[in-house]
Amino acid sequence: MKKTALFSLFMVLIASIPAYADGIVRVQCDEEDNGTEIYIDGKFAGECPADVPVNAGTVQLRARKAARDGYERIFTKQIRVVDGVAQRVEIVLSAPQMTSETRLKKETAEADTLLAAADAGDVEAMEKLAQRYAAGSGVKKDLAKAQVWRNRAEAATAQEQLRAANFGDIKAMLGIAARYDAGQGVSKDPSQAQAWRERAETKSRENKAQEEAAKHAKVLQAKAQAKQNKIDQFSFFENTSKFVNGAGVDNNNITSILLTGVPIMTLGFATDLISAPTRTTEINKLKNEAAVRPSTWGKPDSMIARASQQLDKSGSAAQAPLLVMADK
Amino acid sequence: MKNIAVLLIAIFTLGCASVSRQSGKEEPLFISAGSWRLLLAGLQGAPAELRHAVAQEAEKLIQPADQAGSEGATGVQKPQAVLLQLLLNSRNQTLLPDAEFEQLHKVVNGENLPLQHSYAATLADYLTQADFGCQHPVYAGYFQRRYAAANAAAPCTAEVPFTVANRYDGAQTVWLDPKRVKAIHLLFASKSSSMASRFGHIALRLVVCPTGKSTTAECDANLFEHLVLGFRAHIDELSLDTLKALNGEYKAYLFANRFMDVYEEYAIGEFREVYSLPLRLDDTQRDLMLRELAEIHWSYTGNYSFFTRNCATMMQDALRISWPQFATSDRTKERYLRPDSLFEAVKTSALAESEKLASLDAAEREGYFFSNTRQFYERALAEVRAAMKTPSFSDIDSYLQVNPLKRRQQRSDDIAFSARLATDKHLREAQIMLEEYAVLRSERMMMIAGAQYFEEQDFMSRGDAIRAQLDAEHARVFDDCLLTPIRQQYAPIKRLSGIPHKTDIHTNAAQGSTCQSRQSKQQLQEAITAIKDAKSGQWQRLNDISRYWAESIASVNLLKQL
Repeated sequence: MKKTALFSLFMVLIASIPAYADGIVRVQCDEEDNGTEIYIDGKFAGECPADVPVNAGTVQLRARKAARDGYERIFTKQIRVVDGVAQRVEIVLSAPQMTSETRLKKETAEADTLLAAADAGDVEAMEKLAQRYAAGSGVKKDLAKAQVWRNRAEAATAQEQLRAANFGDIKAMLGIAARYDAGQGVSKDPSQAQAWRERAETKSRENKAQEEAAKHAKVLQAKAQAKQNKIDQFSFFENTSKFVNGAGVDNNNITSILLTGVPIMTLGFATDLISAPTRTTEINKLKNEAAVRPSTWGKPDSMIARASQQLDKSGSAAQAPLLVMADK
Repeated sequence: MKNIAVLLIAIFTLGCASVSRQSGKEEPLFISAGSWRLLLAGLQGAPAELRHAVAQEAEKLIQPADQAGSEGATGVQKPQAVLLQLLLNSRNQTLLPDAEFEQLHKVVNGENLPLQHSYAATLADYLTQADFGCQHPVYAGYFQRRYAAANAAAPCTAEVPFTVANRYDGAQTVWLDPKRVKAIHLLFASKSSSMASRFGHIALRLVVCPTGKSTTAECDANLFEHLVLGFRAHIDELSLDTLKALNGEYKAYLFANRFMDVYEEYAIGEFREVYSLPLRLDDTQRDLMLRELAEIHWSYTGNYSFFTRNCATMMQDALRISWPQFATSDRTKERYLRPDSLFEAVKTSALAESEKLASLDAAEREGYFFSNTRQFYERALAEVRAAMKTPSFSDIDSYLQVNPLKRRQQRSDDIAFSARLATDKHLREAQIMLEEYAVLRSERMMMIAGAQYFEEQDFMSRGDAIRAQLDAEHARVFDDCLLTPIRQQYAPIKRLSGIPHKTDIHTNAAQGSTCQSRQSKQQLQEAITAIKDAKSGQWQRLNDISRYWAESIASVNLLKQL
């Protein structure tokens, strides 16, 4: 009985083989993939599982099974068919992928979006659109349009660079100079190119100077800090009040000293002590000015103020100065 | 121990000559005939009364030729020396001092020489020196009056010297042409809290013109050359000894100062008002007063007692002998012990142009009144405070208490204030004024701190020990530039017989200039550094206040550059 069944099957198979075919490709798949469409060299050849008669030679087998909406699972294989030999192929379908129709729709939609963005001035969109026109991706292939969008993208980039250059961006200045040299995005203009290069150089120098200034400011700050430290460490100044208020010294006593004349030796000694860079004539000048300033400032019509003016005017105290007055 | 006296002896000796009155050496009371003939020839122009009296005295002393031996044994004596001998031994009232001379002598010379000796020496000079009137105008006038000289001496046209002190230049002798003195004012500084100035201070102000041909306005505004002559106590120690002050143990002299120094001292240093009252003097009176004051300036030494013999009483004495109207005016006949009383008396007399002080505003414009400057400093401080973002001071004292470096830093940190200082001249001047005040204030403190340091170190006593620590060159500089000036200031102020000639004025200029050289200063610093006691509080104090002073000066200079 068993032999009979096998024989019957064999006969059915024999019967199904076209009389002209030289070979057979036996296509098999998992049970769940039964019904997968089979194409030989692009022509539908049945559904899996199937024995497909083919002419001897190399054929392209493609299997396809629809997945969710707009997607499919596929399998392709090149098969060499030999006369009288059944070639067995196990279909292993891919993960679901977009169908060509779906892809076309998607690319068309993307192209529409890019077009809108490019029209709105988006440089990146312009560049992508140019690529799509060049490749015919989502749009009908059109090299002229591709060039138009490339030009618009360059022009927009140039404008952007120009704005940045005008705001002092040295890289943008050099970029726009190169564009003027090459006529890329702008009309070719060597003089503009040179002008931008010079501006870039100037700006570069300015930036360097600013950097130097910043460094200098840092040094100054450090010096100021050092000075502050010096002040903080200057013990005397913590007791300044003791000195300037006299602390019992500057009442009767100092007046008395001045009544007798002045202990100039101590003054000279003190100025030498600190190696004061101030010379006697400078001190006298300062003291003369210090003596007249309060009244000159507070009461400009006072005789003290007039005396100060007369001294300024004459340049010396008199034609025959009574006292040596190298002061003014 | 009051070794600080070393420092505080006045500087006036620096320009003074070392000429002093020749003392009459006691010689045998004989005059050779030759000497007498020589003297007699010199007395031809002398008043007859005087010549006669001298001849009477001489007759007693002329040595007969047979007793004298040869003239060559004793030689022919100089007429002045012969005359001095003769006068010192005379009992003739005509040749002896009278009450007026005694009075003049007290005013011109003080009481430092025996009266009869002074009279003899002065009369001898009067009779033998052609230019006696220029050197001794007070005494020349007196002799002319007493002996009724028929021919007045030729008018003196010489310039008049005064030794004028300055804090940094020391004392210098100035030669003043009396023609340049347009007016003499009575100067009064209002009272202060100091004991020495409780009733103010009084002096004379010489209104010195730029030239002999200047206009009145130019003369009035020539304040930097105006001089002030005033009697002052010479306190040769750091602290005022009240007992000594009351006992009259301090010396007094007629000092000359620059008006602007006096103004700074009073109107700025002590915030006192200064009044300047023109005296009614004609040209002749003014010329004579000036010369007579010069004589007193060079010759006088008195004892200063703050309540009984002070600037007011001495000034009255001087004015009485040099200005007859002052001596006879009802308002000034009385002897005033207080400067303010004297000033008020003169002000309300016909001796002065009192109307000049009727309006203090006008007086300040015309140079008869000088404000206390406190008001100006306070206004300046208020303006500076208002302009600063966060001022760290509220009044002048607290301003001075901020150290000068910090003050400078606060100004530069306050960007807006700094910007205003650069553009707002009025504000900048106010700021400079405050820094200048810090300089002036600290300068006073430097003097105190310096004096205290010297007192502490006692260089004079330690001189030998200190020299032993130094090499030869540093020891020499230490001697020449420190000890010698100290010694000079220890010595009393030398007095001269009347107004000196230019040739009489010797200075220590050569030594001074050597010590002023950079090298000498450096070596003196090195010497001091070698001997200084680092732990000395006075040394530290002097250093600190000196730095405060120097930093304040630096601030002034920086602000001026804005």
